Amino acid sequence: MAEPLTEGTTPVQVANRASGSEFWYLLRKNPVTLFGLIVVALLILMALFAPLLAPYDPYATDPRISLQPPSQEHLFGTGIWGEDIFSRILYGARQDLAIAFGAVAVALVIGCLLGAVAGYWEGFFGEAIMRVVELLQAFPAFILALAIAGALGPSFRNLIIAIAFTNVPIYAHLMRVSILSNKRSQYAMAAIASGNPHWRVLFRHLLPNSLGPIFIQSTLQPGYAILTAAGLSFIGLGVRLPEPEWGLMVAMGSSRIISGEWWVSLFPGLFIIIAVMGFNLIGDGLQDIFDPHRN
Amino acid sequence: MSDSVPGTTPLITIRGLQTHFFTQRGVAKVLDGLNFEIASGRVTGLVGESGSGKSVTAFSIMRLMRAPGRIVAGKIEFQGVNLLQLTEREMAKVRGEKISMIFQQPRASLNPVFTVKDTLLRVLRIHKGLSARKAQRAALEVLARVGLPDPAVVLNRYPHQLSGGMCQRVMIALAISCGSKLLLADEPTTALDVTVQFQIIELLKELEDETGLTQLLITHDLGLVAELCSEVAVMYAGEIVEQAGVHALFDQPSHPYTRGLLQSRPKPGARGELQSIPGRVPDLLAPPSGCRFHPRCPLAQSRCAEESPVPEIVGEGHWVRCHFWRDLV
Amino acid sequence: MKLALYILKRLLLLLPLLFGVTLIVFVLTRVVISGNPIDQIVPPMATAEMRQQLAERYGLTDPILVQYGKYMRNLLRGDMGVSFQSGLPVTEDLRKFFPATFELTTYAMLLAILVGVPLGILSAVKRDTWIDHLSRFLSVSGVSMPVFWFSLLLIYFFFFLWQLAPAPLGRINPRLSAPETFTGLLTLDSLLAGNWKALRSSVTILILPTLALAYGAMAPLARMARSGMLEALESQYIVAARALGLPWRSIVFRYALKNALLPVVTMIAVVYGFLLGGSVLVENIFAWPGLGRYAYNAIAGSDYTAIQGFVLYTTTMYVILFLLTDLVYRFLNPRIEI
Repeated sequence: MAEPLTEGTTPVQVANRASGSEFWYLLRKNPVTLFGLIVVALLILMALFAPLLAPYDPYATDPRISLQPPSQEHLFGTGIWGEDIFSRILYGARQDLAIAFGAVAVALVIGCLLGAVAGYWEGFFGEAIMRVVELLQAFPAFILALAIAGALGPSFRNLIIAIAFTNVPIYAHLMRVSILSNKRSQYAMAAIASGNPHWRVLFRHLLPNSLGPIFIQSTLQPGYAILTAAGLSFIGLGVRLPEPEWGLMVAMGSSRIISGEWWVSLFPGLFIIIAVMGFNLIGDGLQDIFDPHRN
Repeated sequence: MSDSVPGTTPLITIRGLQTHFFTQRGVAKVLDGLNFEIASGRVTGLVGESGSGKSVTAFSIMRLMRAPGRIVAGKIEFQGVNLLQLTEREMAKVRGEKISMIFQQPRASLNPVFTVKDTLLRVLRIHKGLSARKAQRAALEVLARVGLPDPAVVLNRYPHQLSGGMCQRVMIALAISCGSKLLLADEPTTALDVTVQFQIIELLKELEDETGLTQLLITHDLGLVAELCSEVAVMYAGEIVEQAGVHALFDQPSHPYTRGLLQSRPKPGARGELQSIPGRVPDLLAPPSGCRFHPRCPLAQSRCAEESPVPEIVGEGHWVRCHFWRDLV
Repeated sequence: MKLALYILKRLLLLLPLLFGVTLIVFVLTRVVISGNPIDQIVPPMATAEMRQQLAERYGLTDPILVQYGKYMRNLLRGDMGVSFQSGLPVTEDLRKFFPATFELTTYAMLLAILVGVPLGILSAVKRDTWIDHLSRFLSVSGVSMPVFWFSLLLIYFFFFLWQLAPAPLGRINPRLSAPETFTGLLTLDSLLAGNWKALRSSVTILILPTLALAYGAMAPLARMARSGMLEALESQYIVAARALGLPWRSIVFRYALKNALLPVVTMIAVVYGFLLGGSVLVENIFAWPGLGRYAYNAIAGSDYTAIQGFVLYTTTMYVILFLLTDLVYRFLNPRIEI
């Protein structure tokens, strides 16, 4: 199985690296990407300033005001224990963004290292690495994350590990292909010929020049990471109570939906969508901008 | 203006054709009032550098211009009918049945997931309404007609299983299968190997000799023109700058651009664009005033930048668009 | 003959892959695992001795390599061990729960294809019109929306608010007797048995979970169909076909369509993987007695034989489906010689 199978993601092709000013020009011409960037920036600000923005303590409970519909005092209503959903959503941005960025960062480092090594030392060693990477892709992504999270036990850290694992293959593949083509280029030949040790050629010369496609992919992945994280937390394999994580908050309301208390699940879910959509719009737009077929 | 070829009637007459490209940076008037005729029963060459508007002319005749290009005005008269006034449905009947076109990339012009048979039979059935059996027989005949050695085998092949030359023969077979009167050949040999180029030229020649198929050969290769054409039109920046019989043009090139082309002519059979005329094809978003060739012209004087030259008669069936052509002769 | 050889070769190549999969699953569930499955079966008051005895009985005290050897030997015999929770052989459990998941994911897949592909094709043909924008909106929301949240929304509107859908509990109205089992697919079985009440109940109860799963699955199919169609429509052979006077309709829907659908075929396995993952969430919400729910219970109870069984089973199906779609792709694409 040669193609990466990570759900919903295909490796992006990058023809050339657009220069900085051209990049900003294209970004302005591509309002959708700009919109995605603004959404993500707002979410990051929301996470950073949650303590200032939140009207209530996200962990505070009060059984007397449990399950109240949205009102002026409680913008998004209250949950089963009388917790303020709005405040918890604000703090939840910290959890979900941290998981998303954390998982993508871990996957990026591990995947790039594996891919770089596999691309540089093509022989048995490189083949062996890629076989293992392909093995990870034999699993449907969510089921692999579920198996890992299930084995490690539910926690914030384990959630990051589980999601990172599902994201490693795509980076390894992108990096390997990039290194393979750059390896044959003149500057790499020159670096080898002038007596640089292999690790230096790889990490100082080849790797930095192979980061273009990785960069674009990295804008798409956090969206999927948030979806997976929320899904795992929803079934109890991720972040645990009383932490405010959006997927977990949706789960809190799931038993209440059939008795009509919709707000407990609705609002955290909306924020998942906003976040995922924000990242996807950025990624899609960047793919368009860097698309070699673009005329 | 007398630009008709002596002793023939034109099969197609183009008058005031304007095909513009509406790009983000502005409107490029690639064809801005083109007048052109294709003589019946002959092979006419249309030569010029790439970007001069040769292909746009052919695509305009077929009405196959795609965004951002659009025909804005003009008249293309074919057998007494203005093609630009036909409905899309009527035009579809003209394409492939009366006027056909072949392209530079023969393999890319064939659908990779269908066999020659699928495509050829569909064309025959749509235009001629033949039954499956009759269409099959007609298909075998036309494949043999274009010199494919084993028609029954080729019929069941996919494009990737055929060589480039064979693909071009198949394209020609498709083009003539329904009795087209006019074949527009857009650089039909450019992408092929030299020996194959020769074979395709021979085939086109045969088609002219035996069936009197009128052809417009679009090329930048004057060698090809010399071999195949009886008429030549030289195009520069969307305008025909000189038109003549092939001998007259080679013996007495009257436009400085034609002369430049002839001097920069590659050795017979060699590939590549002509490059040795100094300067480049002008940006049609902001074309030069007056004569469009004047920035590159060795004869240019101040008048050339101010006044657009009108066609002047050089000889019988030979005209040129240049203020100072007499200085050249 | 060549085809048979090719399939055989691909099947042989599957073996090391599946072997690797068993290894990963084994390591995850026995080496890395945090909970102790023995806790699931011993009474809370059990003495250390009792626990020890049970652990020995289940082979949990053996060296890890011996455990793996035993596990593989049993697996080759089709024995995935006994589930700690149900006390039944895992293979039997999987067989029992599989039809429900198969029924759900198949209908979701069909719905996703039937809506997504035409939508993608249309939005390519009618580029930048309202249908293209609609398709884009559906695609973007489809990939961004958590399937569990969408499920809850559907339940809220269709069950609670409008009372159009039956209660999200299982596969059939519990007061009805299920039809005799032929295929294990309730809709098909009730049809075969001519049991119209059961058919009606099983179909209506299927609608919401199918919708929930299909929405997310539709998005990548629509996008792939759209980009495939755009690429086909911009290609040289379409220009040539127009120059031959083929009618535009026939060019779009016959000439270009086959090229556009090829990449869609390759997406189907990927989408099925998404459906298998999503079924864990959806089945849990709709109390759907399938593999996803089984897996959820197994994880909650650290029932590692059951988890192993589930992961192995779904991954094997996934990998085999990949092989199948690959074969279909090769069959449809004459450019690839088998």
